[in-house]
Amino acid sequence: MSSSSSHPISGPPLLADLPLLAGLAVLVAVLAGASLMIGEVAVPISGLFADGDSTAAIIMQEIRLPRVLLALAIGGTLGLAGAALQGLLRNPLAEPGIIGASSSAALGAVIVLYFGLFNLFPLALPLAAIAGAVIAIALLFALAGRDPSVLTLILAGIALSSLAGALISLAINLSPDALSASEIVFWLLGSLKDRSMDHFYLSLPFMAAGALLLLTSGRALDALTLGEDMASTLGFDLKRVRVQLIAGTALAVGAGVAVAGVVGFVGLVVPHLLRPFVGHEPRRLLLASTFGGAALLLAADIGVRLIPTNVEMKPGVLTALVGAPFFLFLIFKVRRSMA
Amino acid sequence: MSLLNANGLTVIRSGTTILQEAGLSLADGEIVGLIGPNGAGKTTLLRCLVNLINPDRGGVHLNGRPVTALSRPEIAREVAYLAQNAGVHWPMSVERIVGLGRLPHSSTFRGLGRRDWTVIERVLEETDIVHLRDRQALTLSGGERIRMLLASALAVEAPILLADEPISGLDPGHQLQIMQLLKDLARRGRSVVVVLHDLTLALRYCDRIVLMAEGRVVADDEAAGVLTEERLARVYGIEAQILGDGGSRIVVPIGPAQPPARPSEAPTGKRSA
Repeated sequence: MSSSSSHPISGPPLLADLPLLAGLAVLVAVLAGASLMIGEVAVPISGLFADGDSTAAIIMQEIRLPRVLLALAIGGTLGLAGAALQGLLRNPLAEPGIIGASSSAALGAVIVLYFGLFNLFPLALPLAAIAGAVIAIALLFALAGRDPSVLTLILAGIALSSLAGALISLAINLSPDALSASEIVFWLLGSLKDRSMDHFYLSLPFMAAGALLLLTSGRALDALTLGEDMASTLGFDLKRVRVQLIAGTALAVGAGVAVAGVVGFVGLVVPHLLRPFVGHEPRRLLLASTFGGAALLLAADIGVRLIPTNVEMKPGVLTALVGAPFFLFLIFKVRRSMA
Repeated sequence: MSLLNANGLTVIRSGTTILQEAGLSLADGEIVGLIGPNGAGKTTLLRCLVNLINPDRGGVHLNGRPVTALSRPEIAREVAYLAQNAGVHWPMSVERIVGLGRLPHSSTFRGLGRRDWTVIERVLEETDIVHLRDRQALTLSGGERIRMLLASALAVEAPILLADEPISGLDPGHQLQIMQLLKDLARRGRSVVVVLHDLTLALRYCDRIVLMAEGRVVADDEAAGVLTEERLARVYGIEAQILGDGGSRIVVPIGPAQPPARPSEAPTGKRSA
């Protein structure tokens, strides 16, 4: 009687989700194309490949391309980090911000803004933000002790987040004039506008390293479905898994915050939307959420340019405006299912 | 030579001694029942055996090597473990949950292969949950869930299986079926340690019984030798009769032992045997 029934899901895990991933990839490609085409002036897409100093080439290659690439990379890593953290914490309400990486990265950037250090060299701001995220992670593990439980990690993360938030408020509070205060506030809102390819090249290695750490943790996340004891006895060193996931999240999210400010809710919402399509399996969710996050941030970044406002909206504001009600909806759903 | 050997395990947490000089050895092809009152240290002993707890004193050897020197994947391929009250956190399908038992044999870039599915099919049948395979794991009843989790532990195909109360909450039919399954595994050469509260089933299905009380092993012998009316009175604080003989013996609890112990502190009082 064994193995008489046929199973579509065998072989490489990727194969099972090929239709879903292909669909998401097409969506990402369409959105990326649209994002390149949208702007104050109409520029043919051929400008992407034109060389020289033509207006079309400059607009495409130096203004719109970095914007699209950053939306892809940052959205992708946010979606991925959200899926990974929800798997690690076995909690659908977890979010990359919960471990304090994004607020600490923001603090690093705010320090540079406050002291005017960005005049030293152009990439001082993103570098300080990445340093902020890395220091936060080191502190997180120092605070949580040698064998951190998930609970102590979350508590330490919340403490770090609050501290970074308080210091950011202090910087705004002590700003000598309204202009420098609004500079900080505007940066914190997050934007993909006016970023250069240098920003992309600077953040890419960190995001790629973080993404690699997260993407290779899938089996452990699957095992954690049965709880920590069972995951250990299925062959996973949970101490190592936690370090891998927290460090991966910090690198990926910290680098994203460094160049685009804080973009919320992508890491929370995307894994939720996609979970039913991958049978709720944590490992299969990782790659799907990467594509989904890229699509969502691209869409938000298109949205802010299409919605007619006096001043262009920030994508982080849009994702939060859409994300917060969704979060409430999730809470109601969880409450209903628990009742 | 015994596969798994634990000696002098002492575990002290927050000033409380949970295990005291406890030991257990497990040979090829035997099924050992681990019994004792609540809080006797059975689960702690099992957790030490798979290196989930590092004992304050004593050590565990697996195939002659200390477990602390083995990597997690190495232990996983040798010892399957079914935790007490193990739960499922995501609404995955039953067959995918059972498939998690194949993780010790997989790698980052490989999913479930043909051989894995053959094993999954077999354990689904053995635990009588083939009809539930496409059900969402969180919708199962308590008994169905235990059978699913046991199936994933069986899917590991490790030479040793440690099962912490795998039949608590099952109906009598499935209790007998699971005990028979564990016994058959042992007959085919695997080694099983099973934590039980049903003394009759322990007597009937286990080759050996290890009786624990207050963190110590108070008896470790062939099943009939361990379960005596006098010992049940001392360890469990109950008056019990052991009726019948051979393979059909049953243990019938009658009431509290004399002098009657209050229910809240039934097994306490005397130090071990």
